[in-house]
Amino acid sequence: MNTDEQLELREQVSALADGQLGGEAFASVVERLGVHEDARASWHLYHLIGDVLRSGDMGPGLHDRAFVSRLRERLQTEPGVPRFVEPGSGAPEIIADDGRGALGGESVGQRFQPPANDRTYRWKMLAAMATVVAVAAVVWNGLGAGREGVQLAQRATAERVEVEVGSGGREGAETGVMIRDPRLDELLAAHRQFGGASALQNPAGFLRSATLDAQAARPVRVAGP
Amino acid sequence: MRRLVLRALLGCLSAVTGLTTAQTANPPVGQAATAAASAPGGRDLAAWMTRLQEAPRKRVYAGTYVVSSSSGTLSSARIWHVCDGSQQMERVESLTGPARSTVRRNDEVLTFHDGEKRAVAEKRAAPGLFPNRVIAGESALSGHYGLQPLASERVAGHEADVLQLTPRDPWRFGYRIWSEKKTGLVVKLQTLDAAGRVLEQAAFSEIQFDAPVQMEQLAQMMANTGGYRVEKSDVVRTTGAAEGWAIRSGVPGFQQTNCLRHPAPAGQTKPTVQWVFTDGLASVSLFIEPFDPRRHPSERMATMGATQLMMHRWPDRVGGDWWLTVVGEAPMHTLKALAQGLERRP
Repeated sequence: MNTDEQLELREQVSALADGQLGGEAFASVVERLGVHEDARASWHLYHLIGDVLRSGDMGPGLHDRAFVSRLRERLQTEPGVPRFVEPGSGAPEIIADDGRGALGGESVGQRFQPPANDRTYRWKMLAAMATVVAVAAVVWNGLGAGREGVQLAQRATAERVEVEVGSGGREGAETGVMIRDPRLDELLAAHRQFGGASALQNPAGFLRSATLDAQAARPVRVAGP
Repeated sequence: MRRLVLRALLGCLSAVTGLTTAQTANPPVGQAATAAASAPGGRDLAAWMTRLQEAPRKRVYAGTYVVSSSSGTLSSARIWHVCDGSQQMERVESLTGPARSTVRRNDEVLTFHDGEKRAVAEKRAAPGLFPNRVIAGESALSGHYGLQPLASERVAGHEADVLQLTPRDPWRFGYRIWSEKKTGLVVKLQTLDAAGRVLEQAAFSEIQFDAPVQMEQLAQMMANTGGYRVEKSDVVRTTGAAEGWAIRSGVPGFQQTNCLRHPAPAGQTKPTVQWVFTDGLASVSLFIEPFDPRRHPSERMATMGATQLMMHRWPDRVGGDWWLTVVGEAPMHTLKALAQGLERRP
């Protein structure tokens, strides 16, 4: 990217941060934010400036970035990661139809080799990394739910997961993969529609269900207890 | 100062980390300062609930709404809301996922799926103005949740009262609610686990009160389904007893509300029954369908932010086994207890 493009992108990021973009311009800048480190840095910087101007408090953005890079390094150096379901081991069919679905049968280390033909790879990688942690969280949480009842809610934290993944994965742990299960999507949608709204969530309950997209609601499978 | 817009997006671009910072930034239950709650004042949960519920009734606003969960997902939508006291209309246009827009008039909902040129007409169970109020029984609510006002904060450029609802037992999650000071509108909502960590958060990243939203325009939109294939959802209202189910032992505070019969899934002949339980804030759906080894291979559990899910084969020597899918914004053991308390009374 040459300097002009860089400047232009920064201006767009600034407009995005100001909430001035909509529609396709919005989508395009968000996508480029995922691809260009420089743009992300500008994004954090603009928020930091805004925060300092307003309150003198520091924004959380830089902290986030540092955490992600630390996590990325850790994940890359870890020899032991949660093992994923072997195809044909009696598990339900895994339909790897998107970046996240591709977790099945592959180590996390391998996932971080960028495919040469994928221009949005880095964006996906960030998402995938979040997903890896989320999957791990789900795995442990699922186990916790199965065996430890009431304490389960305390286990599903990113910090904990980092530690547990770092310990090489628990031996004999059940394995989890992302799946696309249209039936589960349907049931989740039905729950959000007919059960999900509560006294508290008016109008947020309706907004929440209308806002959540199918992908966001995509369940994570954890092999049975 | 519209830099705040999409701030939530930022937090979640690096999904996990956003959550981590949110977690550490949140004071543990019980330590936060008690502050002047401008509105109903003090710890009167019932009064607060009334205020929160009535807030959208006379308000017109437009804003951007963001939902992010601890599992790293982020959804956002543009919202237009208009209410004249008797009718509520709302338009929600998704900014993430497949393009779709939803228009609601009280309990009537029409969702346009742009890509497939398909529109789905539905009736929401929670009616427009006072969702689930009947069940909630506000005095019962305060038996299950403790209310603690926290110091007020600014959300999307507006000063908001902050309330912490702490569950009194381990059967439910906690909540932190940001209620806009002037209108009472819930502008931000966090669902918290037992350790006070954020499982899911939903918030306006930007909101404009008294925005120029016309009810006629939204109504027109709802009427204008040209070019779309309109589908009606075939859900039938029923009761647990009519479907041959009862609850032998429930979960404290969770009462049955809706029971619905969904048409049989594709390729199946038997319908699926959805039985909904709520304690007034949290809700859990039990989906019951006949067990089919081809479609229901293994029992499983999953968690997606605040939403927990479990699948369970429910043995029945008389009528054949059943397959339960339990989904809810409550801890996994609550889902399990509800499933275990189920009884067949054909």
